[in-house]
Amino acid sequence: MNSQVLKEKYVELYEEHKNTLPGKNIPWLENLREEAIDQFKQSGLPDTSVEEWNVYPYKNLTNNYFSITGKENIDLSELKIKDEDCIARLILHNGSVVKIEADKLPERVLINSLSYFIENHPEIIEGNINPVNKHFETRLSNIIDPKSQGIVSLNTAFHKDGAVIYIEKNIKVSGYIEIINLSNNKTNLMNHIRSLIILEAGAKCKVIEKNIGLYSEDNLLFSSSVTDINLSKDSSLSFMRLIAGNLNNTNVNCTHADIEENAIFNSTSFVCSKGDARDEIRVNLNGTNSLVNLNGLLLGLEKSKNELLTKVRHIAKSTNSNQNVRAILNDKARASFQGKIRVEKKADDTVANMSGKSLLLNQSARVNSKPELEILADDVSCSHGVTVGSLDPEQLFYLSSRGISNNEAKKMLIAAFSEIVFENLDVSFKKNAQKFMADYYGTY
Amino acid sequence: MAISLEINDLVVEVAEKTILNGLSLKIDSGEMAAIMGPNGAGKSTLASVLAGKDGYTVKEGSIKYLGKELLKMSIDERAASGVFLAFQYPVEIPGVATSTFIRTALNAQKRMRGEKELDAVEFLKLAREKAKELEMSEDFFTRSVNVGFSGGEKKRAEVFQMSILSPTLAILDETDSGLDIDALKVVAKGVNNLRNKNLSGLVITHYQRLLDYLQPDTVHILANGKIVKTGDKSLALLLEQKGYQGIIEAN
Repeated sequence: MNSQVLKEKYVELYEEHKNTLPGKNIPWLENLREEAIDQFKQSGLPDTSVEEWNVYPYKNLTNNYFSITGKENIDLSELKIKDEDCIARLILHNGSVVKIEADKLPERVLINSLSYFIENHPEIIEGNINPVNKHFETRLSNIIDPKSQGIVSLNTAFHKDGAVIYIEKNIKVSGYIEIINLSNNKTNLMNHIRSLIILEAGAKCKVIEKNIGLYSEDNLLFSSSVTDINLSKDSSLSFMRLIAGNLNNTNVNCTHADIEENAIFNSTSFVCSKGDARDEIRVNLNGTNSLVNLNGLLLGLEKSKNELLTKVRHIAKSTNSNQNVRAILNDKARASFQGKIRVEKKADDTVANMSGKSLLLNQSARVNSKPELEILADDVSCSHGVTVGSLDPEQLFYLSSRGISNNEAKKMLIAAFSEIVFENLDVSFKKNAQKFMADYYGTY
Repeated sequence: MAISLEINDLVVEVAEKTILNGLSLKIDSGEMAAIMGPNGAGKSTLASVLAGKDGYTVKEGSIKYLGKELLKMSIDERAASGVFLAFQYPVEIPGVATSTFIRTALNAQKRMRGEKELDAVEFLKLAREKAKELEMSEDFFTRSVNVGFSGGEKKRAEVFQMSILSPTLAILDETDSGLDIDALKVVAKGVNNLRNKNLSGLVITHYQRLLDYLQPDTVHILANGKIVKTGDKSLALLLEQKGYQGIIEAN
């Protein structure tokens, strides 16, 4: 389908449905949606002419029309009961919260669906859903480029639900909060999830988000999920995202995080869809001594395409960032890591490190790694390193010569390669990540 | 006495170049044999072929180990049946803890031999005992395999692995290279501690010095891809006086 036609159809779809979307009586939210659809009218869906989307084409996304209404049912009885460490679990099905399970939550910890907040407490979320222009790319030529945000525009216009986590001042939540996004479809279907995680000063919490495509038979599924994160002074959030989809899924996740003075954001992404998936993480280090640790593991099998894009903007003085991304690809899998560090003019004393390493287990697998440093300040310490390789025959021989079978030796080396992504994970995060990969990714 | 290793007329090519050219060698159980030879003689090739490394094409000849065809066994099967190669350049493996590696190896061997595997506690006890014998600090258990080890530590770690895996054929490929005198003594002591009537050794070296500590039963001179002279440990002394050229020319 022609991209112009497709764009017009989505704008039409918005006009048709805008009165049924939540928050139509709330001016700021209505405005946000209107601005977003206007922006989408200009940019359309991102294609390979957009720098952030040029590694490989998302043909399912750009060649097909997706509707927003499906009538799928879901049986939640197959979901295991939540872990003991998990204090609250929100389950979304095709973009809407269908179940919330929570122990007795500590006071001043608010966890509910976005639609609940829109209906009951819009004042709490006002100003926390970012407008689409917030993360437009500022090219080095100072041109503002909105095109990479096409999906975010669509999401901002169409979102109807998501998870909201609001932790009040100085509350330290023990255990973790889990968000599960389940999708299934019998027609070509899209859903747009908008989630918010807001930590007031000194608050602390851990969140796991799991994105799972259950089945789509011969139909295509396009799910977008945008998470706005706001970490006030001295707060700390550990966030782990796991993405597993099937061949017919296109999964686009975006995290937009603002980090204030002394706050810490630990983000770990496991992008392991069997279809097309990307995770975009944009972080603004707004306050001095703020820190972000971005770790990611891309796993690819068969003809999967998995992408991770990061952009860390050092805006305030004395801010720190560390990025460690690993990709392990077999068969004809494709993966890409585009990592960007941008140090703004006033951000002296920045320390920013980035490492991207890829392991190809098959000659037909391909990986794209693009580290980018844009440094406008003078006094900074930045490093970046990228490697692509296969398993080292010398290491394999060494292990085998001690009695370890070739298969087991390969497993050991693969696990060692990705160790850096796991090593600083909280125990419950590690357990969840390993289980997730065993369930959805076979014998990794 | 039982024969441990019997190599007959071995011809080996690497990248279509003949490296071993009709090598024959016999080692009895409990025998410590030294192989000496000039650079490029094929010493390390012999070690690699015995351990089963890729890239070496055996064109002719046979290798029997404890009566079995060694060349038909996979690398890990060779290890499980008692072949141990102490590497000239031990390989670094970031992200794999030394103790995890050795325990996995030991238990893989035990599994193949149908023996009971060691649990974590039993293994730690064994590892501590062996580390003490080799005067090694236990810190290295949790460090990645050979990563950041000095040359001496790497060689010591090889002997440590050997003492835990307790092989029946130990091939030491220039284990003395890169060692200072003190480290050499410790390594030699470690090897000597393992000596018994079931362990055969094949010590590949350039120098007399290691042999002073190890006291081999036999010394073989390898040149141009074959054994050109065999004798007892006095041959090593003769070599020290005459050099390789003198001995090779005399034959």
